Amino acid sequence: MKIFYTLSFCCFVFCWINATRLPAQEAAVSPVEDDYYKIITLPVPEDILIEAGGVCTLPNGSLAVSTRRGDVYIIDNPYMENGSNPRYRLFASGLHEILGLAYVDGDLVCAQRGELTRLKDTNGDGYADEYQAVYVLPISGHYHEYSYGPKLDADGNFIVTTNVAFGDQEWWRGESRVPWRGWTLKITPDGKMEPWATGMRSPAGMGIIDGEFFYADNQGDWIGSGGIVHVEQGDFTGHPAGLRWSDLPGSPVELTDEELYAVADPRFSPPGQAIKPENIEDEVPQPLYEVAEEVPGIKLPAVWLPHGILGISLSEMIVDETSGAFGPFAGQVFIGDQGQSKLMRVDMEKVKGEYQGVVFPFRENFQSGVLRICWGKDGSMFLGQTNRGWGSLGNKNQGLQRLVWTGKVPFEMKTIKAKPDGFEIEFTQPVDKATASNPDNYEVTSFIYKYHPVYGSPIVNDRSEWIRGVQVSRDGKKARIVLDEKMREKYIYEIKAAGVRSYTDGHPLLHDFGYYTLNHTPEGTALDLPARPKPATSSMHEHHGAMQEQHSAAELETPDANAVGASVNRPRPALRGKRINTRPAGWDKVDVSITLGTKPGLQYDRTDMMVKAGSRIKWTFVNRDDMLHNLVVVKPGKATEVGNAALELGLKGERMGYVPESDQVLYHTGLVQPGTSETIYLYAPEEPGTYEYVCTFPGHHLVMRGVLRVVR
Amino acid sequence: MKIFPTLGLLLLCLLGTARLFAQFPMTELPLQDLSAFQSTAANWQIVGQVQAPFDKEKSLDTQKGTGVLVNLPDAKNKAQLFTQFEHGDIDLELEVMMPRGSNSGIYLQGRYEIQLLDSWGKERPTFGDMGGIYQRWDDAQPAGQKGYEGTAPLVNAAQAPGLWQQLRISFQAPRFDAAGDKIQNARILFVELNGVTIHENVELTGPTRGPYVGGGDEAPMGPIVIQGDHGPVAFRNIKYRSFDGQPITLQDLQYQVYRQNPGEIENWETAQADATGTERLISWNAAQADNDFALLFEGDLDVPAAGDYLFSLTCQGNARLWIDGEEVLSIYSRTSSALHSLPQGQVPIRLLYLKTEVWRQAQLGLSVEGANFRPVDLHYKSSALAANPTDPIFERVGRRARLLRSFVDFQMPYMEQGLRFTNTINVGDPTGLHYTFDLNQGALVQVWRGDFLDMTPMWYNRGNGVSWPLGVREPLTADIQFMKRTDNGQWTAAHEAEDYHYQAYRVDADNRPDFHYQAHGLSVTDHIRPAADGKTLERQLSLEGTPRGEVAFCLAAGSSLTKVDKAHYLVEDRYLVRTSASAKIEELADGRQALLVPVKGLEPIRYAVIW
Repeated sequence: MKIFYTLSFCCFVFCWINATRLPAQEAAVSPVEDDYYKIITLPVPEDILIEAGGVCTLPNGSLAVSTRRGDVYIIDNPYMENGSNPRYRLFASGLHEILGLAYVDGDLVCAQRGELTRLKDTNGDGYADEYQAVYVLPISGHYHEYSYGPKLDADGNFIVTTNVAFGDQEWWRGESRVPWRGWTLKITPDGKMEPWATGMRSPAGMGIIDGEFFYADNQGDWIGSGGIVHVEQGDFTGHPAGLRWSDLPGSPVELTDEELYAVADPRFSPPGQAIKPENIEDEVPQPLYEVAEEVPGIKLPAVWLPHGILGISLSEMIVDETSGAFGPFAGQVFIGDQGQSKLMRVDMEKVKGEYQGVVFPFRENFQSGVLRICWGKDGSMFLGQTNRGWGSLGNKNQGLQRLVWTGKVPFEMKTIKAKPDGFEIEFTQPVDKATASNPDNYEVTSFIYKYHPVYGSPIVNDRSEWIRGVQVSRDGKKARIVLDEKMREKYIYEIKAAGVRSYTDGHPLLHDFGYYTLNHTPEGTALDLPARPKPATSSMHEHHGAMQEQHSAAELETPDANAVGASVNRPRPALRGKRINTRPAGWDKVDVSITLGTKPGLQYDRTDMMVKAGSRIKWTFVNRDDMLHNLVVVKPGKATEVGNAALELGLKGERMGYVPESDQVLYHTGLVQPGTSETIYLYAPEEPGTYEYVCTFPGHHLVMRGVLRVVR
Repeated sequence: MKIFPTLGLLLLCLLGTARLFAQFPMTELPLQDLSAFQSTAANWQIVGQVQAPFDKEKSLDTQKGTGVLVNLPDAKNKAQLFTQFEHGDIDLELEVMMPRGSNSGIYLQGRYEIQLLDSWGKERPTFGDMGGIYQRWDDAQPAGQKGYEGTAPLVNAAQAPGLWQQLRISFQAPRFDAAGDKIQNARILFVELNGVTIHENVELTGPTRGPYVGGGDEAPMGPIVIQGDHGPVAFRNIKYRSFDGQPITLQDLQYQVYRQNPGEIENWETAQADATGTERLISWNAAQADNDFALLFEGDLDVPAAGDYLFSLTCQGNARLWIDGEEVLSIYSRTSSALHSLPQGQVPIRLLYLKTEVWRQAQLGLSVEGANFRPVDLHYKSSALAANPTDPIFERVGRRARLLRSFVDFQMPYMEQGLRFTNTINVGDPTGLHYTFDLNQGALVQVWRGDFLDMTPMWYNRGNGVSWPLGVREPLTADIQFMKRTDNGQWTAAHEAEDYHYQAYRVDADNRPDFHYQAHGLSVTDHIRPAADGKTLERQLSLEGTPRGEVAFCLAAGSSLTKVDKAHYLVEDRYLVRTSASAKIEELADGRQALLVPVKGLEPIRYAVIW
């Protein structure tokens, strides 16, 4: 005990001295997320598998959790007060892959695959004894036909969303095999179902914001990137599968798939064949908003969450109703992501009657895929997690965690609002005016995604925006950014403020970027700033093809005297580039032929390989998964560094195949689409050692890697 | 093109079902008379039909005719029955009916006994129960220690007395060297009872207790002996296949590897090989790569006798097989078989393997089976390996009933295509009697006894939402429940949305559910429970309301329905239905016979399923 006290006292003194001796504008260590929001992992009994499909807090503060294996637990003391562990009670069991949970008038209501079910404990023994079918949900029996919910609308109706199935021949194409799959359904408490909207592909993300229903989809065919959509009756949100039923009685959707396909080519396979549509590089991109101009009834996302940067598989969203107990973001929206095991923060505004707004990173490093979130009674957040079958950055298959505010306010962009000529950033703390008023400390890029039957979309029509000027408010909490060019409506604006420092301690922003979706430019007064001269060599449009240079014809440089193989006794011509896709002309043979595949759950199928130093390798990477992956060969011990650098690439990442410009990177492929492969040719390094290969697609590098042992 | 993670699971499901039947015909033991057997006592007879009254001990009623072998022992006549033929390696299939409490046994080579016993409903079967490999015996040991070894069935797959049970035995005889010394033990390759594997590759160190042949010695050949002194028993459809022939072997195997545009080679005679060599057996590893190659094997089959042979080719990629210049098989990423006639002697064979799709794991295998020898691999085992199997996830039942909803796949021989029930609940009972109930139509889909569920297809990785029953499963009439008489007088099971409405289930203190639904204007409470004896499943439907039209409840339907006695009906020879209700058998529009109980006066409908 004595030792403990002494140690902590020393520690305190040390910190205090440090703090006082530092100049105000120079912090020793930049703060991290953990300084502001702590993750607490709930202990779970070993025989209970919390593959959470739903979480909700009960009026008494206990937490209810539903699991993929069909159980519902009520967890007393989830806050671990009295220094005691949470207590788990099995409330119900035997349900079919539950993916939602709501508390309604003393009962729990959950969506299982084929039924919206009300669980009642009528005899008060803490175990449900009546499993009432509120509504039998439509389903054909395909594995991908998940059902999510319910959320409750303002009138107490249940909202349920339904996943599409996939084709048998066209395995990549989402299809609706029975009526109302790929739909949002409204169901009254007494079991009357009203089809509400369609266009859903994999609508795992649901939320009620301002009393309105929003949903978030997963990237896939027709869905270029995830985003948050305000779903109103009769809307079509993008995935065409559910349109098959728009002419059935009761459908509020008027659009038919013929009408849509007349404008957006579905690229169906010829009869008897299965040809998966791939991205067409040199076409004129057709974003969803352009289709919406021709086809009535399409609802655009209120906020796009750029794929790979702010999520890859969005999940539940909740509004901060903690009145400050969770920190300075009251009224804003938090949304989880399964694949990247993290949370994002969204703030929306209504412009010209429609929702739009901004999304920021918020908190990462959860233990598994963040699928369901809810508020605890004390203003902390519970996160129900699972990644079963999909994999996630957090490498546990399931988990239950709690996120607690430390009481310290991070230096963040609190929100960004659209202005007629740019944006206004509001900060959580006053900024250092010198850095904040310098346009060079910001970067703005606008872009959009394609709407096509291909899985995902590249970033298209991107434009670096020239900042005419920045005006900082007198209190130092707002910065008005004025753009040079006219604002592009329906576009996504990446806004970076990497150079801005806080006034009090000179820290950079905890997260220095956000993405604003500009569906409408607001009315208002433009700032009358003079034009700011651009540098002679404009950096605009610089990204095009900058990094993913693909050496289709192998180019050989003159033999490098220093690179003569010690073990392979012949002069070795150097390869120019790190991605050589055809056999180099000087190679009379390949020494080693490697085929590397994937396994479900973010894994390569081989994680340990041995080659001779200097050998000529033909390396084929086969993506058998249904997510994007790449293969990056790096120097010994550098997989984490390179993986982190890829995460930092932001918007540029997708175009660069998430391969950072780094000396640590030896060779790499591009982004390999699901069900396709890429072959690269390379020399094994001359220097023996344990090299690494890693997938640097955001969120994958910590788990998806292997070692390449180079020996003499 | 894309390999779904679910494909592997599909394979796993198939493993749970009965093994495939052989391509070669089996020899049927003629049961017109007893000429297939050595002379015996009067307890063995040939009859036309048998029935074992469900409730009577060791009782078997017979009718004159042929086709069924019965044993009706009495104090004087209780001999064993020896076949005329002797066997070494053999596959044996038969149907057997055990009267209540009866006992018999099948002795392979007269030495190794597979026990036959009415073990219906026994929770923990021993070596002495139905399908058990009986224990060995050593008289030199003190009392109580004479019995040793013996192998209990993996699961009690025995069915109720009076039902025809299917037994399949695959046996490998002991091997002896030239001096007559045993060099390899006899082996039960598998035993399958009522479609369930109850033994898997069990070695027999010597004869089981009381061998009827050899007096404790072992030999390459021996007759089958059926025990006749323990109680009545009946057999029919006894078939066997002996494996006493010389297998085909592969000679002078050479290979050539092509790596330059292997997919586009048209003329193999002129194509330039990148590597050549010789091998003892076929293997894709000869290509020294796992993709982008063509591999051509050429060699000779050494055929010991002219006849038909079954070639099975398996691969990932493309493979073609020529025998004596004739293309016999051409496959793409699957397994396929072909029967081919061969003359005696050396027959040239040519096998081409083309592997150009990187996302496939290389795999190549060729085996051959003859009428009188079991399949032999002409490849190295490592060449035909599929992906590693997963750890299965089995769900068990604890002290309370275990409910588990899932999709349930259902296929009957008469169905062109299987059904996938989507709103089904599996009910696992602590007594070991489990059932599946379809909430979408209020139907009892299947019953089974033993372990509860294999959840691997549903819970491993993404899963496909499907569970699979473990244990001895009996599919029931899953597609018909309440029926309505239509205007043309026919009974129909088809219902409109307004005819059926599922509401809820409520569980009792043991978590056993009652199902509540509405059917044709009736409010139904469906109460399904294991009987007190833990062997049969009882169902009671309580009715309220007013039926809309003429409504009946169908207890069972099938191609054949036989009234066994006052209370018992036999459905397709597969299971019994017991009811005290005034049920009648009517023919349905689809040709099936249906056992109907008319809904009159809201009397509860009660019946039991016995299997």
